[in-house]
Amino acid sequence: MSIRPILAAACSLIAAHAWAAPGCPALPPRVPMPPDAVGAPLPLPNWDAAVTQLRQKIATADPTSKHLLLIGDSITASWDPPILNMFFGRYAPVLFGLSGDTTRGTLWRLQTLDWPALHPSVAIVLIGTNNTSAGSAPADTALGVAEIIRTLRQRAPETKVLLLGLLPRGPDAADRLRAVNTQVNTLIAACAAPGEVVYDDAGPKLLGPDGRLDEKVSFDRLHLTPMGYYMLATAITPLIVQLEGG
Amino acid sequence: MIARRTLLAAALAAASTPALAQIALYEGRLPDGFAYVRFVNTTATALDLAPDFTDPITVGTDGPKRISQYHVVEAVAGKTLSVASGGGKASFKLQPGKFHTFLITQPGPLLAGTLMVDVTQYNQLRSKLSFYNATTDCAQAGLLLEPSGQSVFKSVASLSMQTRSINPVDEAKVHATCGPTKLAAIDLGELNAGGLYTVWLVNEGGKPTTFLAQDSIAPYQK
Repeated sequence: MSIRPILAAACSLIAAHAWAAPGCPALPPRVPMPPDAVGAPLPLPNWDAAVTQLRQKIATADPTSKHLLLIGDSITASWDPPILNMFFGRYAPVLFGLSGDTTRGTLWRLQTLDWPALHPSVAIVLIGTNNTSAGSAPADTALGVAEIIRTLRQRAPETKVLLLGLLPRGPDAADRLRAVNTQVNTLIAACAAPGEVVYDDAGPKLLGPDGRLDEKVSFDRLHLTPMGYYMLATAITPLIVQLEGG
Repeated sequence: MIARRTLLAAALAAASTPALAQIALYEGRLPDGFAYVRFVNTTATALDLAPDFTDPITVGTDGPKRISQYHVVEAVAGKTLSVASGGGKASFKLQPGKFHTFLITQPGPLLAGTLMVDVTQYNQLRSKLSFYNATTDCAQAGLLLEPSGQSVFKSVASLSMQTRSINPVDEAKVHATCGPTKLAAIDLGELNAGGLYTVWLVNEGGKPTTFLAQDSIAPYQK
């Protein structure tokens, strides 16, 4: 039996820990890292063009202002404008969501972002439900989220993070993918760290008492309607006010 | 420290040049069947309002306390809504997907008001500044930069509003005019990208006065 693979794995493990940024110690890097936790462009149609467009948008954001940076997938990209501005306008929100994105794509976007162009006071992270759609294991998705937290802590150490649990999906509690999201949430909740990362699971506030996700809240049982954004904004506003310092 | 942002004068100037014209990042999307409404007390007494579509609301007489938050109303198409106060009742209809401001101009048993459909603009990169002439006796109002006198809004008729988007600024001072009368200047402070700011002109104690408030929506209630 060759010792080479063992040595290689050991070296990778040491390297991973040596390079590990602070953040989310409960979900440390592992060897090998799953694809969900390694930043890379996604092989989706028009993904590169969409990333470029998003970068151009970021470049036009006022570089002298603090921002509320919203990081995620299409759920983040589609914030209802009136709700976003009425609730968070005073914090200069910047949507950094990309349709179809996963932890892998988001990691890559954050790792290659021109950070000096942004000074987010608070970053809201809501990512991973597309990993669930793609069949990723909850532990892998959670590790991807942890790597996103570490990237943020490394690139923007003064930015406070509001980590949101994946939103409920599917019509009711029996939905298989909703159960996966719940498992991811159980894992990423451990990323909370006083003064740095606040974790909040706003999902239950979007549900009826019977656990049903009404189509008035989520028209396709995945994405939110304006009413859904209204409920989500109401749920997270106290936390954002706290993190923004008023 | 990165250079401070431009003052409002420069922001207003830049807003009119093509080179700095910015594409709105999203278009206003109309929530199907939903509408938004807020109440503004232009009278001399505080009012306890009882709308028939949400919890009771109190609007005072001290600056921003005159303005309620926007309230979300569902399924407004074809529906007549009402608000009761002081033994009076006023009715109105809202347009689906629109923001409305109901200016209460007469308290008591003869409760009366004017419903305005607000002009809305939403842009992540710009601030929105609005000016409401919420007086009944100031036929033409304006808002000008202090001290330059550059016009921000002009010819705003009684019980009407204008709005515009501007580049974010660190600080700004403005003063309103009511006909030939110049009112005291007010400090707008910092105007953030994405922020929704409104200067209100109201009649307080028999004199026109101005104050700044930020637009907001009342939290969702199950």
